[in-house]
Amino acid sequence: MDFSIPETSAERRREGAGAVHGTVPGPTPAARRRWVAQVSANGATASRIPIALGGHGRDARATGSLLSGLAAAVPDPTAALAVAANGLLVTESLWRLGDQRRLPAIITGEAIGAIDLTEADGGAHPTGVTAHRTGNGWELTGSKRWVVNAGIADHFLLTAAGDDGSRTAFVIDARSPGILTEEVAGPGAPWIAPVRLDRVQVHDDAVLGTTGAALTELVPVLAALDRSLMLTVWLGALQDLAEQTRVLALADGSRFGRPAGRSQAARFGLADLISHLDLFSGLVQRALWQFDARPEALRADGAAARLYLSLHIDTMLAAAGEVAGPLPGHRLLHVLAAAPLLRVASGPQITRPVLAAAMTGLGGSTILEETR
Amino acid sequence: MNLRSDAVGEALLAGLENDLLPVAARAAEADRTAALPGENWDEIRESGYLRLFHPAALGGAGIDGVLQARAMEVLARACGGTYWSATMSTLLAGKLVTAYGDPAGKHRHLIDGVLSGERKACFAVVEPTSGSDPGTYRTRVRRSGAGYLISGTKAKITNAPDADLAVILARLDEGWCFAFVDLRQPGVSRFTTPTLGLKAMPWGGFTLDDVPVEAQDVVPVPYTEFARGMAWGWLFISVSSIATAENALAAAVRHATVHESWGRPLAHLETVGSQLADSRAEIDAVRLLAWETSWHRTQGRDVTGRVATLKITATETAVRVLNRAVQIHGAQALVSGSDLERWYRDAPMNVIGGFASNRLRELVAEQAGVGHVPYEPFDWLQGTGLELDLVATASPLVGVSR
Repeated sequence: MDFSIPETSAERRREGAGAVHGTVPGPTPAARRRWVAQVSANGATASRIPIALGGHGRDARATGSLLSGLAAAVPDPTAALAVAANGLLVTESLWRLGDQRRLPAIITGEAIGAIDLTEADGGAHPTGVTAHRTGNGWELTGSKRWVVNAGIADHFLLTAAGDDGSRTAFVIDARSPGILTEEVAGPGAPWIAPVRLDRVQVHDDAVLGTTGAALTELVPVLAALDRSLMLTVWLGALQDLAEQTRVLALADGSRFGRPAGRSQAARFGLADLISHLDLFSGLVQRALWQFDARPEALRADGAAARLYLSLHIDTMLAAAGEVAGPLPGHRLLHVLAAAPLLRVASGPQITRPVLAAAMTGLGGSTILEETR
Repeated sequence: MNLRSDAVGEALLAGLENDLLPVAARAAEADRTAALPGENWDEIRESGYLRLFHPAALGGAGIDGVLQARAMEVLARACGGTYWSATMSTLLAGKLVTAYGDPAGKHRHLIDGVLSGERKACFAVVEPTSGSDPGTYRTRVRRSGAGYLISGTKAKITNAPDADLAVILARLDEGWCFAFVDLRQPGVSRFTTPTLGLKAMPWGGFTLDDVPVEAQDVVPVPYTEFARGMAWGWLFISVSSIATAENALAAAVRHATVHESWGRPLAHLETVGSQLADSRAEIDAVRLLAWETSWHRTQGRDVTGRVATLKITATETAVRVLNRAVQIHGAQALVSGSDLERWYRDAPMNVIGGFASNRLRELVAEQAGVGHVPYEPFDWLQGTGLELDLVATASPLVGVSR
């Protein structure tokens, strides 16, 4: 075993920060679309795709460094999540399930994709959309609540339930007649919004993979990404939060005429923030290594990484608040607002039974040796 | 990170586990009698465990840090008290001799004795009056002829009741030193202190009354070296916690899959599965950090801050895991003499032993660059108005009250 850090790791992190180039997305849908497209074009989307297909052919660890660097450079984790949903969830799915038609424009950032976060929960979450056969295609009706890049994407990757209950994955034109993005307040808004589909007509070629096989073909890809690479968005955001918290601890102006860092509560909070971050980072690094080298272990071990964050993010944010006091830095406000998204998909309701099944052999699952 | 293990390492761990089966079989009895069985030490010596943490040039096994941490976990899972005694001797005390002494020359005989198991060593810091406040330490080394004499009392020391060799933190002139002291000589009187857990571990202290120490065995050190040296201890204490937690989790999984309630094994209950899952995630996290810090440390890097982080989280994780295991076992956990009871008493020992979490959180904050906070008298409320009670006063206004 080897815990050395690759020399290219810091370079990839800088590259991720460089993809953002110090920009902050504007408030309008058009400005947000331009921003995601630009950051994606700067390398955030092509990282994992093989060189022969126009990508950079990097492994999960290198891509994870890039994404955490990117997320550390974007104040709002939801904006980084929007880039990652396009660059990982949509792009990796199109690549692995062999969609050559839409992939090239996605890789270059000319087109961007939308996806509901709960698709990663597979059959544990109701699909919300039905698919009925028509003459030469399908008619899709229903709604999705947690669609990342809603209203600004070109393509919409979604699953829908057929008449027999089986699920099929579709990639449809996000501007098709019958698609409506709703504007609601809530976690992740405006990047994440509900989308309604009212008798949307799509051709047969909108099917991604095998008809009726989304749960076995698409869901394992999305679940694996949620338990590994997608976590690097949170890792990068929390690393920057820890650094901002550390700097705040040195500042004057706390109670009793002492800097915040003289308060033992604040110091202990900072220690806890650093500790949980270090532990979470180790679990993420293991998951990234497994993504390439031992994907069969990722089901349980990736779930452990995701679960660890779910279990301890409240402590981490409370600790940052203990130091920041009533005037938190912008990063803390953004992370506090985004944290509920960790319960939308791949939350403890999912990761706990997945892990328990791998440990006990119950739940229709096999015991994984790695969980012992 | 590369988590692929090699066949040689796996064979070493399997062999060690096999060699230590008798130690594991005696763990309950050792706890009940609060004594380390003599056979345990013989089997530890024969297993080669005491050589695992040192380079080949010093007669060690020369293995990497991850394998060292995994080997520690094998012994710690077999018997926590035996693990503490053996690892305190070879890892903590042994590393202090190699780091601050002259292991290839003047102190080679000490290293040889510790690695072969002929000598058992301890690290003596704390004194009866206080914990980690060095201001209270009185033990002093003073010159006498060509050598030194050492006097004082050390307490709450692992292996103090039966150690042959002590690495002692003592005052020397205006500063500090590590003294390598042979405890098998006149002027040394020992005492044993009963413990809450890890009961097979010899624990107690000794009083030194003008005990001679050779000049070459007194090494002046700045006090800050103390924490750096202790980092080896934090690592092995963390692994002790990981092993205790893993034992408890394995027992909980066994119980949950075998014990039936409402017609089905307990593990069908959502909460039971969740508690197993939470424990799995938390143990994995601290074990990975233990492997990583052990790996870096054996590569020669100073990772004191991260080992402090590990000590806090691993030891507190074990207490949480034990509590969950007790919940899952229900009333069975309340029966005296069970393995679970032993681990339940062992777990908090690690939270406090070798620096309590409170002290280590301070150290992590210091390492993060927010400075050192001297202990100040608690007088901050003075003059703020917040120290005052509401008192009856006559309002200058008329007719407003009631």
